[in-house]
Order: sequence, then C-alpha cells, then structure tokens
Amino acid sequence: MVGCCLALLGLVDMAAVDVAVALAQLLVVAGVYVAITEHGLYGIDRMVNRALVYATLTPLVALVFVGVTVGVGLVAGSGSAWATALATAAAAAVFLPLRARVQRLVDRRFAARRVAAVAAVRDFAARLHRGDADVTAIGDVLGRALGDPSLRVRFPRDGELREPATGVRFAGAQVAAVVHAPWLAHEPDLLRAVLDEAAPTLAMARLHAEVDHQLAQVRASRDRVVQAGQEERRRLERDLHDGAQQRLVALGISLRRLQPGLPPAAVSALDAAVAQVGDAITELRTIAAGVRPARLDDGLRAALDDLARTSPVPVDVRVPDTRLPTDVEDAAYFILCEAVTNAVKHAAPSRVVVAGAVAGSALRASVVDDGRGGAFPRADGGGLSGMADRARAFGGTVLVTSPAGAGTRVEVVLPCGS
Amino acid sequence: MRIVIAEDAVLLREGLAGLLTDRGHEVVGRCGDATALLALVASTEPDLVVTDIRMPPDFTDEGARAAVHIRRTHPGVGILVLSQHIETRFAVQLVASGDGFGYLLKDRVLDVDSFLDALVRVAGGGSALDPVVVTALLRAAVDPVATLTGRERAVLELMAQGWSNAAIAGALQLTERTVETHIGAVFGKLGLPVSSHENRRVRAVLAYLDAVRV
Repeated sequence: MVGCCLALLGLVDMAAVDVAVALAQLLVVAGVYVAITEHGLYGIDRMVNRALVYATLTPLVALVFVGVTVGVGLVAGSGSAWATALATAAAAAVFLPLRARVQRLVDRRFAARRVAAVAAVRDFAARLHRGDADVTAIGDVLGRALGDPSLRVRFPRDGELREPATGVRFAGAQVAAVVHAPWLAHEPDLLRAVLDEAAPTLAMARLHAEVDHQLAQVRASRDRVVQAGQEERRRLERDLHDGAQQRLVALGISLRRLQPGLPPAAVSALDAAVAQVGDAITELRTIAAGVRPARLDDGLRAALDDLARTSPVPVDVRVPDTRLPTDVEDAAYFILCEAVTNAVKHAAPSRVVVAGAVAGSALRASVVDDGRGGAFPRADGGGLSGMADRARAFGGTVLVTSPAGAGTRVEVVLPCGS
Repeated sequence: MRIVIAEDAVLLREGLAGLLTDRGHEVVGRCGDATALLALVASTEPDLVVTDIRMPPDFTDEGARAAVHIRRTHPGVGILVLSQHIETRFAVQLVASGDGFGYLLKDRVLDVDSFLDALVRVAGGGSALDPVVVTALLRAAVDPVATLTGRERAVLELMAQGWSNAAIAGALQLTERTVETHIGAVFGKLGLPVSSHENRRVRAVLAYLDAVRV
C-alpha cells in the first residue's frame, strides 16, 4: 500500500518499489518468526486469526480497487492515473473499517472455541456439585474440552514431576500440573482460560488423590501387619511346642529317672513335681492351640474338624479336603473360627454349618447359623470387623447378613492365588 | 527290647534313652531326623522305633512319613509316634492302618509305667492310641455312642487306646469275663462285627468312631 502511494506520488520508480516490497515481506516473515519463537505471545492461534482476517480482507480490498478502477476507467478512459489513484483511495478508505469488522467476526469464531471449552469445564463442576460426576474424571474432561486426548493431570508432590507440564494454581498454591500435547502451548489463551476455570476442581481432585494415596498406604500397612501377625502366630506356636514344651517333658523325664531307689517321701514329692510339669505342658498346649492350632498343618478341613469337635453346639463342616496356600488356609481358618465362635457365643443357635468350596481362583466359604441374628460390624475392631480386616489383608471380602430373628450368614471370599 | 529313638530335641532324646535304659531296654540307635532314622533301622533291625513326628528339615510330619516307610521296608518293627499336640485324624489313620503302630502325646512318657506298657504292646504287634484322641473321637461321635452305659463307655475308651482285655480288666477292677461281656454289648450297640482278634477290634472301633464323628 505504501509502495502504491509512493508510486502514485511519482517519488520513486517501480523497480525501487519492487525491492521495497520484497524487503517488507522479508521483514514480516522475520518478525513473525521472532514473535513465535522468542515471545510466544504471538501464538499460533493469533497467527491463524490474523491469517484468516487478511485472507478475507485481501479479496475484499482487491474487489473495491478493481471495481473503482474499472468504474472510473469507463468514465475517464482507460489507463488513467486518476482511476488508479481513486481506486487506491477507495480501497484505503474501506480498509480500516472492513478490517475491524472482519477481525470481530474471526475473533468471535475463535472465542467460540474458548467459550465452549470453558463451558464444558463449568458444566463438569456443576455436575460434580450435584453429585452426578466423579472428580477423578477431570483429566478426561480437560482432554475433551481442549481437544487433546493425550492430556493428563498430575498432582506432583515436591519436585516429583519429570515431564514438561503447565502448572495450575489455586488459592495461592500450585495444585496440579497438566501434561498436554506441545501444540496446546501455542494456544495460550485457550489453555489459560480452561485451566483457570478448572483450578478449583483440580484442587479438589488433588485432595481426593492425596486421600486415596494415604488410604492405600494405610491399607497396605494394615495388610502387612495382619500377614506378619499370622506368620508370627506360626512361629510362636512352633516355639511353644518345639521349645518350651519339649524342655518340660525332658525335665519331667529327669525327675522320673531320679525316683527309683529314693525313700517313699522323696518319691511322692517327685510325683507331685512331675504332675505339675504335666499340668504346665497341658497349659502350654492349650495356649499354643489358641495361638494357632497345629492341626492347620494338616489343612483347613482338619483344623475345622477339630474346631467342630470341641464346639458345644453341633457344627457341620462341609469343606473339601483340598490343600491351599498356607497363608490362605490360616486366614480362612481364623475368619471361620471367629464366625463360629461369634455364633456360639452370641446367637444361641441349635446348629452351625461351615461350608466352603474352591471356585476359580478363590476360596468361597460361609458360616450359617439358625440363631437370633441381628449382628452388625462394630467400628472398634470387634469380631466382625476383625474378620473383614483379615480377609482384606489377603485381598478377600467378608459379607455378614444377619436379619433379626433369622440367623446369621457370614460369607467369606479369599483369593487362593492359583 | 532293642529300641531306636528319633527325636531332634537332644535333651528329650537323651532323657528318653536314659529312662528306657534304666528300665532294662537296649537303645541301639538314636538320631535327630528321618533320614538318619531310616539308615539306623536298616543297620540295627530294632524291635521298636520311637519317633518324634515333627523333625528337621521342615518340621511337619517327617516322623510319620518315615513310619510309613519303615512299615513297608521292615514290617516286623513296631512304631510308636510321639507328638507335641494332638492330631486326631492322622493318629486314627496311623493306628487303624495296621498292627504294631502307636500314637501318643510326648508327655505320656511321664506316666512311665503306662508308657512302657504301650511300648511293649506296640513292639508286640498291638496298638497304642493316646487317650486324648479317643476322648475327642468319643465326644464327637453322637447317637449310638450315647446309648452306652458308663461302664461300657469306659471299656470302649480303653479298648480304642489299644489296651488288651486283661489290661482293661486290671484298670477297671473287673474280671476279664465281665470286660468281654461289656465289649460284646458295645459291639452290639454300635452294630460292629464281633471279633476275638484284639487289633482287628481296635481298628473296627477306630474306623467306626472316625466315621461317625460330628
């Protein structure tokens, strides 16, 4: 345009105009390059925006120019410098208002995308508020809103994040980092608008993730404690039987060997001593059986049979005699034993049925009584919740159904890992 | 009697060996695991093996498995298995599986005379089953056992432990004849075939009690 004006005024010849135009083009290209690479300000979206504006403007201005040239040419004769001058003036006159108008149209088009993306985030927040959505879905919502399926939300703890990401701040602290496709960095307006809108939701998602993380840690620690406890029971039972108890028997034998040839008073004193040793052995055996019945070494069925045998209420054991991993057998025994003990102690049943089967890769067992029902788990780690803890420690579940007056049913599922 | 002892607790093994020697038996071998036991039985050909059930390396039922093995290779050797705790089913299987098997809790040793009786019985092809096992079987067995009189039940308990008629008569202060009558009544009420063979009778009783429990 400047070139045209200069040519019109006859101040420079056309060759110089060509050079100036070429230089100007080069300058524009260089300017765009610097703007994109150095400042990021001139985002791709802005470039596309401007490209659209000028792509629309150019034919319009050209049309005005050609229209005026032809119109004036018809009146004043072709090749008239006046025609060119008038056309240029007309084109220049319409250029500015036309540009503003086209810019508004294109802006509205671009803003529409941003507005829609922000609205999608706002809508998700509203659904969350109503309880219709899960806060952990925020990553998917952002991915869809920004058109980047690869987008992931991270909640880095101090210095944990190892990939490039865009930070999100809320209430004065960084709450999340969004890992996204590189091209989104060139649409900073869109990205910023959407992430600003999502910030409170991301803060909530972060709390959610932190609670989940801590809960998982607590669960893992509980599982380790229960599993270690079971291992400790095995060790303790063995120590009692193979250590203390053996020593007591050996002591008793030593006392017995002293007896022959002693005066009657000494013999009867040693008899009394041996009787005490025998009582101590019996006591130790009872303690060891409470710690872990040695019969568990022979399998779950064997141990349950023994349990049934000592129960004051008839217990019907319908468990197959198959062997399972020791941990599973132990856990299953302690859970079923607890359930039977609860039934006998609290439900006043006329009989208890312990049933079990290995289905797929899990042991499914149940303890059913015909007692008074109405049992419910206590939060203080009482019998029922203790069973559930033990089952969960081995990846299993315990379900207690206990309608008042209709007996109690305890169902146990334990993965066998086979 | 020539005896081999397998027991991993040294204190107990030496005490037991001393006690048996005191009482005029010959301890021809002592060891602490099942592998050594098998070798000792092969080299000494004893009358009786007294073995702990849990021994190295795994501390599960090495002694019991050795017992079954010895029974195959040396059918004439009596085998008494000692345990720290009661394992009803295994005990019944072992004792009911044939002549010359015994299963006792270790502390029965302290009742020296009964223990020595059991040793002699097992070495002679008889049975010895721990009273606790028998009590557990009887407690679990319902119905027909409940119809037994107190005396019949007492006789059944001792019979199931492997006692001979004479020993039962001595313990309950009855004549052998009365014991036989009680035994006949017990077999009648439980619907078992009467047999004069002592061990077959024990096995019938054990099989019965094992079958009707719970």
